[in-house]
Amino acid sequence: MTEKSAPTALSRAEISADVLLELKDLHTHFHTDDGLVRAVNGVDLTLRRGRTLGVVGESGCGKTILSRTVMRIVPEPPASISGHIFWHRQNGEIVDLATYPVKARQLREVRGKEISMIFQEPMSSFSPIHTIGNQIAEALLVHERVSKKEAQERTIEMIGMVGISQPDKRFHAYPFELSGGMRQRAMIAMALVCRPTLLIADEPTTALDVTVEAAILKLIKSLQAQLGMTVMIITHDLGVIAKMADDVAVMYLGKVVEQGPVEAIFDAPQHPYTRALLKSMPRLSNTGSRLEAIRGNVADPYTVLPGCAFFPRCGEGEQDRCTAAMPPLVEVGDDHLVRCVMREGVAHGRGSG
Amino acid sequence: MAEAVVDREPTKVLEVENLKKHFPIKAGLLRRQVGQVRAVDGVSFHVEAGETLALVGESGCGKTTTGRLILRALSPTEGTILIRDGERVWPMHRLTAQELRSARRSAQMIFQDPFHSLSPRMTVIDIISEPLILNGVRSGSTRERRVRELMDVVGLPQQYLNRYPHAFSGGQRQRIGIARALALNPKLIVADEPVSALDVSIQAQILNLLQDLQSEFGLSYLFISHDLRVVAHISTRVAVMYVGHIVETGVTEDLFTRPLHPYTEALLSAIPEPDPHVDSEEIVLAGEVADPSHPPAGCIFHPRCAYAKKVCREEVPSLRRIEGRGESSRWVACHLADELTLRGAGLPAPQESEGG
Repeated sequence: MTEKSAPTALSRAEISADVLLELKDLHTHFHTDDGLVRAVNGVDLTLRRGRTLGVVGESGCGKTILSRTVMRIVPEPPASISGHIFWHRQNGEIVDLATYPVKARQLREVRGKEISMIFQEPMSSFSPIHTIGNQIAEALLVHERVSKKEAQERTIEMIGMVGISQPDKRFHAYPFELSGGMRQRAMIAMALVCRPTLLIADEPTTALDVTVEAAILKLIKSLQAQLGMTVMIITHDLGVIAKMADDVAVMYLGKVVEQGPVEAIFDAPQHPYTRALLKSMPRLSNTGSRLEAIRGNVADPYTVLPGCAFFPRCGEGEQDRCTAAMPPLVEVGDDHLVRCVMREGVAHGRGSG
Repeated sequence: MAEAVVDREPTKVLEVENLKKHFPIKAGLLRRQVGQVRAVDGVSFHVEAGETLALVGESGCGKTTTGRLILRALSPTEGTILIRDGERVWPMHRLTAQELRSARRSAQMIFQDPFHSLSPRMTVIDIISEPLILNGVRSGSTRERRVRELMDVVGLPQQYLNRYPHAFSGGQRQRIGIARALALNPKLIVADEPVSALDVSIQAQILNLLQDLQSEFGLSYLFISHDLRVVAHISTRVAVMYVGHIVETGVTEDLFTRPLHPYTEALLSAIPEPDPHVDSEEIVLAGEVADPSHPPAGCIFHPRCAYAKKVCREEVPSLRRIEGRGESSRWVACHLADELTLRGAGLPAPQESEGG
């Protein structure tokens, strides 16, 4: 392991200008009747301004809880959060979102205004008894001192920006009157109406048809360029990651097992789980060959496995080395970190060059 | 008529001809019928022995309804469905409930959601042996032997025989569903989105299992899916559906590399390929999917089609055969199929495309 590899020791002044969000040793644990669920179990991640971070993993890896922890919208209790969520505000102030009590004013100022979120299921994110327009305008009325009239004008402008035709008419539409794709656009309008610095998109297209998905992803990209947002996209689909992300974090059982620039993750994946995930995906370019499935299943969330959590399903590990302790994140390339003891030798080789 | 078709086509496990399902829309106090949803509106296709035909399309296109009609979970409004099992040919569209029970030995279904398609109150042995009981396998020990055999075949440890579904993961439950479908040695399996609810690593296990079972038992699949990457991987041929109609069919590779219908082109362009270096420009379709209770005149796709001409707005295109594109014959329902050069999946746009 090289000196460069400890993420907490990164020379802060060097990168702080474009850092927007830093997660340090973040944990979200749920105390349930059946035991302790370590949904997020020690995550270190950095988001840079204007970039798109893709968080990818399978069900139960903690990606959704991670995004909700950043927003501080996981129910506490049963959840308890520890670690740091350093949020770099526009005015240069750095606040640790993990330290505030759930109902703190500081959190409400950031949530929905500076960081906002879109969800997988647009129907359940809207109230069925209020018009789309009023629900979008509400965010403005809560967060900014604007008149009702101004809120309405800005809402209509936003509805137009997300590609809904006749925005002044659609302002008065109820959610059930819109198709799934249109509702997802309306939700994006609701998330962006206060012009947030960070947009968290949790499986934004999973419930949508492929042609609608393509249109929504395109829209998120163009709005990002237009508004200069940073985007964190949570998905299980490596295709969406490849299309959208600049940087990728691969999660497995509450931990980031590999992170790096998107090309490095797809061209030279280092963690056996990332490699296996890429090989198990059907691709258009490679239809003849047999898929390489990952053996076994994800461990149940209550068990704590010694050492690397992926070892029981891994084809490359060695019992003694892998189960001794949780492997640290080691740097294997520029900004490319991997949590695997089998790569420690690689790290030395690359680190010197 | 039906018998004549049967004699000509001994290799076809499934033949569907002009299949329609119209659901009535009822309103008012007397529940009068005020309209109808044309969920499936005249589809014809067949499945050859040992092949996988994928039925693809987006939500509401009628692919699931088609699958359910074939096994008569729904009764068709019109059309014929023939399932061939050796010497026998089942005219599924007109069988009585009694006859259906026997016919379902030849064709079975695998469902999307392994969490809702298995009864939580039945153990694995109960679930897998249910079709055996329904088809008169009386001896308990014979049934148990068959269940153990099936568990081996689908890769479930035999010691789980007496467990309940909740004790299994999604992938294992899908294996239970597959074992149940295989219990009576069917010829045809209708698999409705069988891997959509599963994680990608588990999805690969199930796709591999389906392929193994196909070669081992000579099964034919009608594979219903919205996921074109999965379809590209598993299917021999593809039929693309749009609002109750089949708009195009062809051998998978031909259809993916050289689509003939503009809707297929748009679908293919929208697939996000897991490769950051592929930067294909997706085609964003204008407007919304047509309402199947008020389909537009002419071609059902014309309001969203970038290539539409006058003829498309006026005449309904029939599914016609196109020769000389790829090795096998292609069928497409598009007036302009001969003039258009459309873009295939993940490939750069063809150079002569500005002519469209």
